[in-house]
Amino acid sequence: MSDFSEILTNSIRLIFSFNTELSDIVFLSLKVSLSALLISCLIGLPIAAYSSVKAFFGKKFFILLVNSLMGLPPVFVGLVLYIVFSKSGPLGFFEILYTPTVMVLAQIILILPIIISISFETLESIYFEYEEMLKSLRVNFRDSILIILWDARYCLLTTVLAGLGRAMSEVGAIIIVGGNIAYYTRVMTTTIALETSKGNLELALALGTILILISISLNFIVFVVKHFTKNLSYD
Amino acid sequence: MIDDLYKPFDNQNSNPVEITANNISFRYGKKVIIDRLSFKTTENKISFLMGPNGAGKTLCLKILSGILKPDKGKVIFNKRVRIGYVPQKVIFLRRSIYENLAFTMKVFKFQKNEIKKRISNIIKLTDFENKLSMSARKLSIGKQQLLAIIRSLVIKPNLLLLDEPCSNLDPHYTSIIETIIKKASRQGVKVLFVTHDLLQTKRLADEIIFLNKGRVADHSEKGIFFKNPKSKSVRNYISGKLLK
Repeated sequence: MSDFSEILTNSIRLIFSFNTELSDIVFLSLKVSLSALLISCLIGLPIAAYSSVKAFFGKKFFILLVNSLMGLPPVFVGLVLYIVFSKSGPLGFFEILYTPTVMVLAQIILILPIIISISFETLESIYFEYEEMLKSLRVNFRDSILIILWDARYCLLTTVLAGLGRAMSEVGAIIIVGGNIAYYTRVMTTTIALETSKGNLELALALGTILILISISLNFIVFVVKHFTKNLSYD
Repeated sequence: MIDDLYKPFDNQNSNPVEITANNISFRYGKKVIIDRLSFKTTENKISFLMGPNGAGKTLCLKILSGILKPDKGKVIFNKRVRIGYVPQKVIFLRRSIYENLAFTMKVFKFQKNEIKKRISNIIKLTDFENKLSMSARKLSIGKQQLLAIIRSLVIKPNLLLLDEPCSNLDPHYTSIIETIIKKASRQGVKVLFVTHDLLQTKRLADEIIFLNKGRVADHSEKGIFFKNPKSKSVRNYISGKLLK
């Protein structure tokens, strides 16, 4: 018990020491996860909106596939990317293995299905409601997409948060493709895994605490935004 | 001049819209809902589309408004139409009253200053003047119905397609909506109105198209329709008997 309290005290001391190594790790984690989230939203939201508005051949199968991909094992994603981007792999010439770029890519693959699937459900229900009105006004396809995206913006915050949560907590894929290289590809989750195995529990616990604090803060921000925009959402 | 609010966008052209439904058929799966439906409305009159439940009135209105395409036949208008459509179940965007009206006008390419001016004028027909920033979806059913009428008028339509716009409304709101419809009609807006309400039909209609089982069972002037109906189904309907 005294060991635990000592580790906890040291880890808290470490957080407030503003250690460079620690802050670099936190900064890289945020950079990788937020980049992946931004790209996933830029790709995923239009796809979800398109699928909500357009009836196309294989739509049900596409949604089923995307839903299935939400449970994609991160280790498998990491392994596939490793094979594809390794020197002898088909895309090895990009030379991005063990770089933050491939870590972003891995996280995109993992969170894109979440963004598409959850936002599709929201957008589809809004379009279902608006469809007749938009058709009676002869609103074109592109504008219909923009209208439902705009009207769903506050609901989509939760989707974005779910995607970020998945990205921030990811370890299996990025440890394989990033290589956990100090000061280069080492992020919070991979450092926690490494330092725990080395017995350096202070750093691992400090990072774990920061990870949880970031997660709570993000949830809190979304809660506040949703609360204060409740009237603006006009729902 | 508040009556100017009702003038259609093409008010220079004196001839009002004339609707011709030419042999329209529509089916859901194997079930035929509308069967070779044909009628031609009389110019400048308030036309009522009546009939029992499932006769195809709402579907007919959706086809006329362009929401649905008929399987067979076609709808012909004598001129370019701008349709103000009020569905049975009114839907508003998740936006304020003002934004809902402005959105509809933007679709029809109204200029920004015209949008502001027209909304501030037309809203005087209601008691929403100080509630423009309120959510349209949070209004009571009656007020939503009224706002839906205003939304259909704000684009200066020359054809109003109204699907039971006064259902579930109290006499106060019914009277407001009926006054608006009468004034719009007088200003040259063609009105096609779906209802079950015989009393409202007596108050508002000029001509009645009676549908039964997806076909026109009767099409006559109000006086003839009520005093001397041509078909048995109309006689039964007026006298409150169930139609088979």
